Formats: sequence, C-alpha cells, structure tokens
Amino acid sequence: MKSLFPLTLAFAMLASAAAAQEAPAVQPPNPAQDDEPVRVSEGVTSQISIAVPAMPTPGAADTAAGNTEALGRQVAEIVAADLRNSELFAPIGPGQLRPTPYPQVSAPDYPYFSASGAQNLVQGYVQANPDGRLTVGCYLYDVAAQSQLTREGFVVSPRDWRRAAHRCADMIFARLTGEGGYFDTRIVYVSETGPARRRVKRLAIMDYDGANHRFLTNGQWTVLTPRFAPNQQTITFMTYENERPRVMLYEIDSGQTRPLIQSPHMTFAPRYSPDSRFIVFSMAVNGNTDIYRVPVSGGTPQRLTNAPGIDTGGSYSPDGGRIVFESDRGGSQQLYVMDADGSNQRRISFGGGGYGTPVWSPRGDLIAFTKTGGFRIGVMAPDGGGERILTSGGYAEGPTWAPNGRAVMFTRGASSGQLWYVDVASGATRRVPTPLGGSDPAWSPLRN
Amino acid sequence: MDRTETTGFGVSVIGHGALLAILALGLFKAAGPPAPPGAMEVSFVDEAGLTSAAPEISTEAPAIGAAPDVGPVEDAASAPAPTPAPTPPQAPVARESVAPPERQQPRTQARPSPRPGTGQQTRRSIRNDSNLLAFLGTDPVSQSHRAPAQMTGEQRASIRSLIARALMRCQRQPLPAPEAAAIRVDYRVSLNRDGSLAGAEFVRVRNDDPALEKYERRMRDLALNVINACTPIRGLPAEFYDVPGGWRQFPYQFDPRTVR
Amino acid sequence: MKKLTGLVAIAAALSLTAGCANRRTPDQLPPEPGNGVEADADSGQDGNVTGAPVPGSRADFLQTVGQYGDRILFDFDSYEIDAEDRATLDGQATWLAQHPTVRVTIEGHADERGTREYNLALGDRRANAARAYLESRGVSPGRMQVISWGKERPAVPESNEAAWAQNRRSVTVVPE
Repeated sequence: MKSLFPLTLAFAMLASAAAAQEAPAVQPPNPAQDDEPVRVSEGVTSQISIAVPAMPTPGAADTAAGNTEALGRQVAEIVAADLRNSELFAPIGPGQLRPTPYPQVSAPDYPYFSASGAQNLVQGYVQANPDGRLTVGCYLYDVAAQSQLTREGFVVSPRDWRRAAHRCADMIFARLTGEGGYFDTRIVYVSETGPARRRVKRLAIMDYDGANHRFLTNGQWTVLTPRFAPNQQTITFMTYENERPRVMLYEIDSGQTRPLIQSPHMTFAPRYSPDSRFIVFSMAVNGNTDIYRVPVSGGTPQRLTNAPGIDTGGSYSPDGGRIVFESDRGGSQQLYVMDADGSNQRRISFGGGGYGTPVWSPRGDLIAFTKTGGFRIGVMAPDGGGERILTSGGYAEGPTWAPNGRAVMFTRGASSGQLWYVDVASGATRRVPTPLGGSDPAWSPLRN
Repeated sequence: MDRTETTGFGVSVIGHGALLAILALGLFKAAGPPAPPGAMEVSFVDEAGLTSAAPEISTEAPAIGAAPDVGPVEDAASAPAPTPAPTPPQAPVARESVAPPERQQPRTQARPSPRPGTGQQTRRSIRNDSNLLAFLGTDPVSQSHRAPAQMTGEQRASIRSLIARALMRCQRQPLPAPEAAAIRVDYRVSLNRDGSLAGAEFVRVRNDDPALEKYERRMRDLALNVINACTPIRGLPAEFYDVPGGWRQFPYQFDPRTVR
Repeated sequence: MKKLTGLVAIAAALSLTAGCANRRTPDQLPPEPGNGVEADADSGQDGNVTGAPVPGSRADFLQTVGQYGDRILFDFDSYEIDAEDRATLDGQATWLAQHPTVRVTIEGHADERGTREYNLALGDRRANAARAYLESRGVSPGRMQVISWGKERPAVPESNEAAWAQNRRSVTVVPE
C-alpha cells in the first residue's frame, strides 16, 4: 500500500530580510527630535533577475519613429529601464547581452541566458506594418523552467512607440509580481523656474519616465495642484489667472478651459471621484475653508464639512465611497475620513506631529500623506494604523500614487521643487528628471 | 518750457511709446516654449493592445486540478514560424528528461545547435554524504539486488534530507510580495532512476486569503521553477528508488515561509 | 529676432532718460529717498516727477504708514493679530478714512514650511483677520478684497527663521 509521506521539503524560498537588499535602507526618525512611534519601512524583497536583449526586426524598415532595427534596441532599453525603476527587478539590459536573432524570439537560447545569470527573459520584435503602424511583440520566458510564461503584441502608431515598450514592461511586471504595472502612464505637474520670490509656474505633462514632455500653459499666471480625471480626458487644477484664484477644468483634447464653479471665493485643492462624475474641492469663505463636492457636469456644490478651521485636501477611496481629508479642527493638521456624502467624519491620525495632503492608494489599502513634523512622506492604513515613514533627508510633501499602489511620486523642496519617486515596499527613492524644476505631481491611471 | 526741454520731453514720449508698444506686443513674456492651451497632441492606442499580434507558438496551459499522470508530453502543438517569418525558427530544445505537462513543449529530435539542451549535464549534482551511504548500506552506483521490501523510518528520513539539501542549494527567485509567503503549493514530483526529473504534477495551491489570490499563479511558477532548477538530484540510492515510499515519486510542498 | 527686440527695448529704455535733463532748478525738491515705493511692489512708475506722491496713491499710502506699515506679521501657523499688528492696522485705517474712495486688496501669505493647500487656506485666514479688524475700525467691507497667495510669494526668499517671519504676513495693497 502506498503511504503518502507528508514530506515537507524545507528550504528558504527567497533571500529576503536577512539577505541582500538592493535598495538603501531608510533612516529611522531621531527620537530625540520627535516623539512619533512609527516604524520606518524596511526593504523586504530581493530583486527579480531578467534578461532584456535587444529586439530584432523581421525586416529593417524606416518609420516615422525611426528604423525598426534601432527601435528594437530602444524598446528593450525602455523595458529594462522601466523594470529597474520599479526597484523590484534587476534587469540585464541589451548592452550586456547579444541581440536576439529573429528566429529565436519564440525559441530562446536558454543555455545562453541561463549562463548570464538571468532567471527570466523577455524577447520581442519590432515590425513596420504596411499601414504605417508598428507591431511590437513581447514574450516572457522562465529560463530555468525553459517555458514561456506569457506573450502579448501591441499595435501602435509611430508616435506612440514608447507606449508599446511600456506596455511590454507592464505585462512582465504583472506576470512576475501578480500586480498591475504602472509604466504606460503620464504625469501632470507644475514646471517651475525663476526666482523664488516670483516663481514662474506652468502646467506640464510627460510620460512617467520624463519622455514626451510638453507645457500646457505659458507661465503668465501661477498654477497649482493639477490632477487627472480618471478617464484622462480632463485635468483639473488651480489658477491665479487675473488674480482670481480658483479651480479650473482643462479638456485635454480640445484645450478648452473653464472654471469649475462661479464664485467670488477662492476655490482650490480639486480632485476627481473615481467615476469622474464629481470633483471634491475646497473653498475659503471669510477665513474658513471647507470641503465641497460638485458634479462635473454642473450644478450646485454640496458642502461636505462644516467645522471651524481649515478642512482641505479631499481624496476619494478607489471605490468612491469615502473621502480622506485634512483638518485642523482639533488644533493641528490631522487626517480624517468621511463618507462621500460628508457624513460619519472621524479622525484617523493620532501620531505626534501633524499630517496633511492625504491621498488614497488606488489599491485601497493605504493612505499616503505628508508628515508635517519634519516634512516627510508616509503611509498608513485607512483606519490610521500601521504608519510608516517612507522618505528621509530633505523637505518632502504632496504625494501622488502610481496606479498599482506600489510607488509614490512627490515634491522635494519647500519653495523650489523637484520631483522624486519612492517605492513603497523598499523605500528606495530617486529623482524624476524634468527639464526645469517641478512640483505638485499627479500620476495618471494606466492609459487605455 | 524752453526748446531743450521740449525736445527732451518729446524724445521721452517717443521712448515711452516704443517701450509700451514692445511690452504690449508681449515680446518679453517668459522665455521658453509657449504652448497655448490648444489641443494636446495625445493619441491613444486605439486598440486596447490586446490584439495578439504575436506569432502562434506553443503556450503553457496551467494545469489546474488533477493533471494527467506523469508521462511523455502529449498534445504539444507544433510550433510554426512567426507569422511574418523570413526563416523558420529553430526547433525547441530537446531535453533529456520528460518535460512536465505544464510546459507542453514538443519533444523533438535533434536540434541543429552545437549546444544541445543538455544544460542539465552541467548542473550541479548533489554529492552524497559518504557517511550517510554507509548508514544506508548501499552503493549508489551499483545496481543492487538487495532492495529491501520496506524502508525503515530512519532511511526514509535520510532520503528526505538528501533531497531537501539538493533543493536548498539551487537558485531561487524572489516572491512577488512579502505577504505571498503565506501561500504554499503542492506538487507531485517524479524522478528517473538517474535522479533527473521525470515529471511534476501540480496538485493544489494552499491559500486562505482572497487578497493573496493574485499571487497564486506566480507562486506556482516559483514552485515549478525550483523543481526544474534543482534537478537532477544525483546520488540517491538506487535500491530505494522503486520501493514503497521510495524516491521515484513523492509529494513536494513549496513553502516559502520555511527558513533555511 | 529676439536680439533685435532686445536692442530696440534697450534703446527705448535709454530714451526714457532723455526727458530727465532739467536745465533749471525745479519748483520743488523731490521727495527724500528711502520713503519711496516698497521694493517688492510691482510698480513701474515713480509718481509725479516733480513733487509729493499723488494723494490716495500707493506711494502716498506707503509714505504715510511707513515702509512696513502696509503689513502685519504672524506667528507660525497662527492668524492671531497682536497689539503691534493692531497699531499698524490702525494706521492703515486712518489713511483709508482719509481717502474713502480707495479700494484695497488684502493679501495673505504663509512661509514655505507648510503643505501647499493648507497654506492657501492659512493665507486666506490671515488676510481675513486683517480685513475683519479694519472693518471693525470703520473701513467699509465693500472697499476691501481678499486674496491668499499661500506660500507662493515669499517676501524674503531664504530658508531661515528671520525670512520665514517676514513671509508670514498680511499686506494691504493700494492700487497705484
């Protein structure tokens, strides 16, 4: 008779915790300087190795985006850079590998890649179609198992060729981590230049990696805090045009701009609801600032908060049911959560020091914020627990979430800003390149 | 006013006018590419990118639930060339061992490559602990005819630790997320007499947390990855191969929480 | 093209000085230097060339209330008006009473150490605190408009306590 052995084979699966951390550890807060009981985030996982050789083309052809041979290498470089940016991967880029011959795209030379040390492999190709568009094929392989994990093809216009590379990286990211990626996304932000007393601020938009950068306004009037509509057809922001500070809507396709509401009072801090139907915003009336929401299509604003003091910075939960905001009704800036109709307002932050600029993660599991004692970026659960500080060294404020809820972009610098990025799990940070200074970034959803 | 004053006044007026004209024409706006809020040239990929423009090649089908018994790979779809194919692709790698069902790669004959898929020959193979062999009273090389009808508990434990040590030494990949460590994956592993992998049959995923479901597929990958990367296992005693409880086939649980 | 524009502009600017060559003693002495327009006020004109500021103008206001009499300062994260502030605002109210047709804008500002949106609200609080006090001193509310600049317009673009103290302010701005 057979007897099954409850044979449990013991081995360590990942070289985590005790083993190599690729990202630098974040410094814990100095207890002498503040009394917060929070725990600084630690690096948790080692990185996934993946080979990204240059992609061949079935036939070299000149396109509006360049020759397909050159594009094949550039696509691989973008894929490698995206994966590296995520801090979760250790890619071996095209510069370190021989380019893949076209016949091997779907039949990899596993021993070669195994010898390179890679455990995963992405190969692909770039092809010019007769109608002038490009097809980019993307194949992901497990080197040890010598099997294909997934594949996808992308048909794009030549001007969108970088998006095909980003979507390939998103495909790889999703397959190897179980999470959605965030590489086919854009950032809208305020581009800054000029003397600190009179910064010239312009709305600007770019791919998340800094490519395809363009300005949307000319800097004549100060503009602040732009945010995407979830359907990415509109941007809402605040302007000082004609010295009337108020919230505006900017239609991306038409370029048309209109005020959100007609009011003599200052309106600011706008954010869309997840279904794009409402905008929650702040309005200052006679020294008191409260949060309102209004249908984007028009109508009477509905007042959501009514406390003496400053209530601002509303941000919806991803299911649209709740709003997190900041209020100093208790004497200092703290975080509160309410239902989307304004009811059931309750405080969620209780650590030492103040909290501002709350933003709900698209995953729903975390709220990012600015810790105003020390000006660092942190995260906490929506009930206020599990507070972790993500950044150190240098003034930071104004987080925005990547669409997969694993990374945050923010502003460094209290009055002359630069954009920075932090990976939530590892705490690894890096600067986001922009042509001038930058502040108030907002991350788009994945582009469709 | 005298004439000099009048002249000066006149020049001054003209100068003011010129400067005002220049300013009015807006030639001193902030430098930089002034992009009037016209239409943004954003073009979206009109297809959702789900067009599978990739050539048809054999895919891996996740074997859910009861997989067929370990054996030669069946129904491996032929691998044609990529659709706009100038040259046919090379035939897939020929493996010495039977490919697991998950991979469904066709077993073909000779591959026109100077490097046949014999990476396994260069793989690490476990070196036996000679003391252990002595304990087992067996010589791994000889074909012993003294196969005992049943292994003792200690012998089974020794075999188990041999296999465990083999698997501990091979490459591993990181988890998709730290919390995925709570997921365990059960396989049934079959080995050939020479210790190489005969097959791996997926049995089940053990996960109670719906929030971790998105990691299950990757965890199955990782379990299979270990099985593939860590075989063949050399030096296992031949007489304990075919006996009940021997190492021809055994259940294997991939449990990332178990620390080395 | 830009270079040519620059030359023309410089020539135009230089030609502005042509009218300044006085050959005779002016009727009146020009006002003493140091009492003039605030450096960060965006005014391009220097008022009447030959005499005192025009009554009711910004220059007149600043000359009357003093170089820093157009503003009050606040403690960190505060919008409280203290006795010194009240004295300053009293001076403003007096001048405003003497020029009843003048409309003013009251600006509220915050220092850089604060999140952007909160500082917009804080600036609004400070401006409204000044406005409310002026109203209590008889200035008609219809004459006063309020605007918050948050931390976007620091008076002193440095990162130290002295600069921050100067930037936490409410400024009463008279049109030129």
